[in-house]
Amino acid sequence: MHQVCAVLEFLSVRRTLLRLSVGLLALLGWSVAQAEVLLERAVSRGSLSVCTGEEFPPFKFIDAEGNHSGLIYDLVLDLQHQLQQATGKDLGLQLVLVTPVNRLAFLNQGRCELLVTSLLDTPSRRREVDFVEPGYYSSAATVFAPKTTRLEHWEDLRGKVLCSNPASVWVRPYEERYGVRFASYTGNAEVRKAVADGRCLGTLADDVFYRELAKDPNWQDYEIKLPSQDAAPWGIALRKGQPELQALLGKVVEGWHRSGLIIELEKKYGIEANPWVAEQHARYAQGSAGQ
Amino acid sequence: MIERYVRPWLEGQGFHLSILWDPTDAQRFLLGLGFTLGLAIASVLLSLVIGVLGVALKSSPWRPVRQAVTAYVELFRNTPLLAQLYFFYFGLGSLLPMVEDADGHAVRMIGNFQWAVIVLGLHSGAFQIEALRGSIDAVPRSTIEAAQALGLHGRKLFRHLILPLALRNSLPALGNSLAQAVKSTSVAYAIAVPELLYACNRIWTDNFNVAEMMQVLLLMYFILLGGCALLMSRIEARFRLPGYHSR
Repeated sequence: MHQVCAVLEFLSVRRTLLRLSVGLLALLGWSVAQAEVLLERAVSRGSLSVCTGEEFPPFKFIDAEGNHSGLIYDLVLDLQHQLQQATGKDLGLQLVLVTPVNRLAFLNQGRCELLVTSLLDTPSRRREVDFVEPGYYSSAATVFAPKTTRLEHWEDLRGKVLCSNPASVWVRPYEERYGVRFASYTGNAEVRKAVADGRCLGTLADDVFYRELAKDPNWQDYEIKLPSQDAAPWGIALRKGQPELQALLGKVVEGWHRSGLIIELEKKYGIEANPWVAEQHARYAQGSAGQ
Repeated sequence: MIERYVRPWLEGQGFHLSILWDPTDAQRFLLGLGFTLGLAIASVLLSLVIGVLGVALKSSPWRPVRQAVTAYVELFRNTPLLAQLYFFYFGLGSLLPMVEDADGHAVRMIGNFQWAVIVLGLHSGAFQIEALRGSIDAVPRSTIEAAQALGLHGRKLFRHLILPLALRNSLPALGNSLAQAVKSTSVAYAIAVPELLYACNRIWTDNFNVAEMMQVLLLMYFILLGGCALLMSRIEARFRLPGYHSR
């Protein structure tokens, strides 16, 4: 009898638990189904968290006074300003430093609302996060190597070792296409040190960054070797399921292209004019003139 | 079979275990496993050589030699392995001359795999010296005296009595350092040796299956170390002397 009671009791406990969990699930479904509240968490916190990386100067760096500076940082400031207007709330800015390895994870874990860094917008990354369209800058793959290295075609790289950043999207395709062997180091500084130490033929490089690095007197014996290819836009990334924010940010980036803000920033920081950015400017400026 | 049944089921569970169906990833992973084993074996062998040599040198009649061994042991025991690896690879390594590889390209002498073996070997060699020294000290005084009474002296005494007993004494410590050596191979990731951790990092960068690969990685090391523990307990059982050990 005791046992029967115990079993019945257990069953009723189970039923209660089951009901509870069904209820919880329903609640969860309900909250997901609710309309997206624009930047709800940032607004309740009173500050906008933006994940950004340590990039190459002059895209993002710490200036002589110890302040953040650079093209990407200026864009983040404009973003903060425009999101304040859109939400009608005062939003502070909180920068969360990320590395190429942890950036998507940080965004998806909710440590920041937006990821603004030199993140190439690729199909495989789109499975993980949403990208704002259009992109705000663009770069392509090339090789940065000592001037003395003889390298004329991508095909010459078969069986050769190139250094690379650990999260590069080009590693796998280039292994398959050109038979390059890669040595990935944990960060950009280590990659550059390995190149300087002759640990590899050169580094598989993001052309816009390494074109700037080649101007540095410390790197005068190095140069960009091959014509850039596989260009992709840099996209602002956000967690999935925020169509309203995504659309709003799309308008912001379009605005940057239309007004020529990015071209102005290139001039401000002495960055070589990016043809893709110029193209976008022509496209959006023309679009607005036609309307 | 995998493509038809396992993959859809695993992906249905949200488990993107690409090493099971993507040949490139599978190859990367197996190569990584090979590198981990290779690193472990090479560095353990090197550390054993260093251990035996170090113990011999520590009983040298010359004081500077003994002091040099002590300095080496203290230096390697009291600094972190990753810092040592960076120091040797990026610091000391960059001072070495350039040599030409098979294709006539200039590369730095001593590559990343070799540096990893050297540093891992030096690191665990320092611990090995201490472990071996302890086990030589643990050979009972009375046993040595008994052997001396039977006419064994000097080198013969060491070869036939002290060494066999000391090696048996050192087996548990050796097992520890073996396990430590296998685990330590993962730091070679920092200097681009494509061992397990490096391979997994590459795979999760391409597929964004970080959580899955982290679990696989942990499980792999667990299995590897389980194997080591089994091996060591077999060896210990094989060399057990009846009546010598307290049990």
